[in-house]
Amino acid sequence: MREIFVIVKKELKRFFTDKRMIMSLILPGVLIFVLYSVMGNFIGKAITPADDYEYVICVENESATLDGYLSALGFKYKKVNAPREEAEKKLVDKEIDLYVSFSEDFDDAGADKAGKNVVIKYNSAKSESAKIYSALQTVYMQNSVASVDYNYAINAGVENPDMATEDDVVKMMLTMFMPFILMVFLVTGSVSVASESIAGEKERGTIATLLVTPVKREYIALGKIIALTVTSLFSSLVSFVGIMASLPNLLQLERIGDVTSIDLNVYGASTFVGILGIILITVMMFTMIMSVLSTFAKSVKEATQFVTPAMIVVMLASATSMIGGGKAVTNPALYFIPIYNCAQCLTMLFSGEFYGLCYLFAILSDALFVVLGVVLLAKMFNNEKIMLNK
Amino acid sequence: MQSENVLVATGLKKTFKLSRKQQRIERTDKTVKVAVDGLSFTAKRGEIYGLLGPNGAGKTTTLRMLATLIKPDAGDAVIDGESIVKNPEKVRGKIGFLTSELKLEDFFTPEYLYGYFSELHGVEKSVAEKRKNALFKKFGIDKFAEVKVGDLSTGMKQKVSLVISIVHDPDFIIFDEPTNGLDVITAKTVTDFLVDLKNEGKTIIISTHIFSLVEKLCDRVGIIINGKMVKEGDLKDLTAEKDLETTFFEVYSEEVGENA
Repeated sequence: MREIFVIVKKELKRFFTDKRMIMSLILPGVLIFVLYSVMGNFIGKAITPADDYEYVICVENESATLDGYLSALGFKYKKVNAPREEAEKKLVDKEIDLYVSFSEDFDDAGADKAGKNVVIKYNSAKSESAKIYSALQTVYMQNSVASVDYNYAINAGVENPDMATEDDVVKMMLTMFMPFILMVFLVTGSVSVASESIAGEKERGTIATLLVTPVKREYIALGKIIALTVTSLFSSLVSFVGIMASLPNLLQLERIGDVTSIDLNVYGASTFVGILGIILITVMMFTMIMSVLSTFAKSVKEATQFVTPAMIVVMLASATSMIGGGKAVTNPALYFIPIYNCAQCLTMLFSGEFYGLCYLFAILSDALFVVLGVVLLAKMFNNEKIMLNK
Repeated sequence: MQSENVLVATGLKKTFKLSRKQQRIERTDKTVKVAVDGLSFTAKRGEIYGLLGPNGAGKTTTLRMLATLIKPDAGDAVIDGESIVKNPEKVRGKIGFLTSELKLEDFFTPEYLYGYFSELHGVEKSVAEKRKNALFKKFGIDKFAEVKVGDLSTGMKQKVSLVISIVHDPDFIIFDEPTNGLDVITAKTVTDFLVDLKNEGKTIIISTHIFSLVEKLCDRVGIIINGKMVKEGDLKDLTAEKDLETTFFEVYSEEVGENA
């Protein structure tokens, strides 16, 4: 057993003192942060009109209410005159942002409300048009003078009709993204290190030097697996920090709502322990799968070819976390399916739920999978055709 | 003690499946190649035994079986009381094996690798340190002990590989083509070291196709052609009437049925 520790120590030294390896472990996390932040800002800017944008509005039978509302909403705008048909063409061509037409008696307080009408047309493919339409439509609705023939207010005087707590919003957002993103990082983290450590050693002929030592092949396999798990975890952790740091920018939180930062305090310590348990077993499972494939390969290049289909399967299983409306499946039997169960457990935990039996089944099933993998890997390490098939 | 057989190989056989590509290269329809065909031989304690044969004769395959890197399809070999089939791990603890196919990781230094392999062999730290100092000094490795293997020359790497293969001071040493690819100075260092090891009472098996090396080093010789042991005996007996090269080509002509 001592030999396992010796191999783990050497493998970790290899990964954590080689500048190139450190770069390959840390770089994905840094790139994720930079890329997602830039992407988020870029998308945000693309979908949010500039503050000093001057909206172009075509009005027919102008009502006195229009200027009042637009000024109150803070829009900078100019009005142009055009008949409806021409205005609609200009909307299609994105030359103007809005067409507003009021009925003749719109401002006549004594007129029958049933006859009053305002038509607001816009182009949703143009962000400026969509924004001013949304604001104006809401304000006319709220002031109860829209096309309906009866008069009532919607949420008049209510500051925030949304009863979701800030915690719920954070949980909902994290449930949408985190299980899939985490699974993807965990699998990509294990791919690079496993290919390098096993197929790379086979390709360079250094594995044979290890195989002629008196160390049991099972111990060699186990030593590699432990070291690779630690390294993959480290790589995944860096990626996790990168994604968490870039999430506010990516989701453009300050533009879309009251929640302006992702505060992980919405979860209790037990949830974190649960997530950590799933991350650990997932990394072990991925490392195992990648190690087995990497052992079959003759070179790092071939290992990369072998793991690509496996990565697709993993990603498909992980993508199940994004369907189901942010709710994990509750059938315990489904938690026996490796990989899929990890995605579902993460969904469950991030949404703030916990189904004990499902979680237990997932951990047991995955642990069994890992044990079987170690046995298979040890057998492969004992197989000269596989280990010396350069 | 001098006459004790440390190695007893009996009927060793190894076949390899041929891929289509290999079939084309070897110009054969056979799907299986017999690399070693019922090889039996013995080696005594304190002698250097040379396996002599042309390329593809089965020398390396034989040594790889003895080193437990591959398993024989049939037959067995007992090294210092341990079977290569039944107790391969114990055999690996008793032998030192060096071949050009065993490489060291470029990223590490000779200093680190020596410590690493010593630990894997379970050598006590103080013993390993003392032995490392002596071996590093003998081969001049102390001058580049902290240089990464990737930055060393071929000769330096070979010296480091040699030293690493015997970190545990084995009594039985297997060297596949020990001077292959080495410059004359490094080759002499290696052959001198083999003689030193023999004088210490170690048993050494080498494979080679270089007659002069066999004549210089070996006590006994086995000539392998097409996986079979075609002649075996003391070097003195084999070279009593003719030199080794002449003897080899006579045997080769008889076996292959053509003039070499």
